[in-house]
Amino acid sequence: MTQEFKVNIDIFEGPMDLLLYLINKNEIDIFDIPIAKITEEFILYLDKMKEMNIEIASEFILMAATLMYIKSKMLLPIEGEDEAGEELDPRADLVAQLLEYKKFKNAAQAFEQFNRLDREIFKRPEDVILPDEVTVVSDQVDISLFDLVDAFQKVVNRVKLKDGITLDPERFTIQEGIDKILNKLEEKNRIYFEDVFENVFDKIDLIVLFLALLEIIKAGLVKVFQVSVNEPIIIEKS
Amino acid sequence: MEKEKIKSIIESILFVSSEPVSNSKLREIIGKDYGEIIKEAIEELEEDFDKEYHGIALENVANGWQFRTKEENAQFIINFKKIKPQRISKASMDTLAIIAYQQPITKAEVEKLRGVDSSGVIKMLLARKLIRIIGKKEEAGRPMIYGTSSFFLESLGLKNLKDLPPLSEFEEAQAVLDEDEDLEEGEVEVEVEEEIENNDNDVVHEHEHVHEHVHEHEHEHEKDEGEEIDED
Repeated sequence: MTQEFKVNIDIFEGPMDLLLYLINKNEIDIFDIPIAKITEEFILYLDKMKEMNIEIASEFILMAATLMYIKSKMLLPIEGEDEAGEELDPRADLVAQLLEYKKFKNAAQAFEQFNRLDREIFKRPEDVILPDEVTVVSDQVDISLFDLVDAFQKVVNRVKLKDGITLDPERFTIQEGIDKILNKLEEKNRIYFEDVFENVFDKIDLIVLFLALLEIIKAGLVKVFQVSVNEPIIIEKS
Repeated sequence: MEKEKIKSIIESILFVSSEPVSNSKLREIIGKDYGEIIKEAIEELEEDFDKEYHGIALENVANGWQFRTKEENAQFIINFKKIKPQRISKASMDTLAIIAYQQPITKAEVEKLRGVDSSGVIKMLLARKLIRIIGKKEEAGRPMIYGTSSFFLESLGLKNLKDLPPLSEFEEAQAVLDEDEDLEEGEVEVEVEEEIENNDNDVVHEHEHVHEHVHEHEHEHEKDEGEEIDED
């Protein structure tokens, strides 16, 4: 008995899976769910889980409550109409949600059928990146925010601000800045601080990129260090 | 350079690369003026390796070219490398499908669709490099936004995201169609066929198709009944 239940737990990732399972098991038309019956079965399962001393995730309770709410609504005369003038079915939202979920489950099933790397298909293994000089030096110096600001100031100073007419260049957002930097890191695992600002000559763009870099550091996506003080700052994918 | 020489260079480059190599990368390495010849050379290589006696195939995945072993040899490679074939759990695959089709997407949006906490699965997919963080959303809490990686394409053997089967293929069909009932989007039993290509104006077509379908069924029914009566 216990064993049987263990298997079930595996199948029911969440309340939506349990619902779909019950619908399937009872050969119910998803577009016309007998709510009373399904609610009863759903709660029966939760009871079974309780008996087994299995902690029921709050999502299941929420779904049970939703089902009971719909059930109670079904008992009342239907009020309201949709745009097409048809009566509003209290089950409509739930059905839409189930259908949406089922769609992705079907897609996942299709993905499962694809020939997959490291299952049916193999490729040359990833390159082993041998440490170059930089990493051989054992004591890396961690960078403080002040070092970064300092380095950034140098970049800004180096970029000579152009005189004359300024045309409004096409700006990018911090979000796009993050993308730019991540794409650079995708190509090479490690870039120099200056590389972030490569080919950027506009002060505002520089600042946006700098803020983007800070975001990435905050998100813990990169490691920033230098080999010793006065050496270039290195940004590495973590 | 002659095409044969270029074929040989491309083969060498692809041999040493673990990542798919794009046409533009090849042009950059071999020479800008060889664009056309490179394309032809790749086509020929593709055909060459397609031969049955080759154990690897040249495939177009993740916007590039890659040598990959042939499916039918999988078991031998698994035995040789003493590895377990990579499996992805159902929950992870569901989540991956959601992210693939709905990207860019936040964890909260994934959870809304799945109706269940998805932190663990997302972490797993990140660790397996099938998805990546593509930024943060400009809203309260600045949640991370996720999307699929280029390794995702490599892993499933897709050229690019457009190569994914259209999501509409996976819609549930309504079991019983009432003939008078207006079809709504999502209930259409999709007659996919070649119409996916020109998606813009096919909604009407699909409706027509289904109606045809329904009528066909009706005719069949009539016929069936007619025959039964004849037999009686």
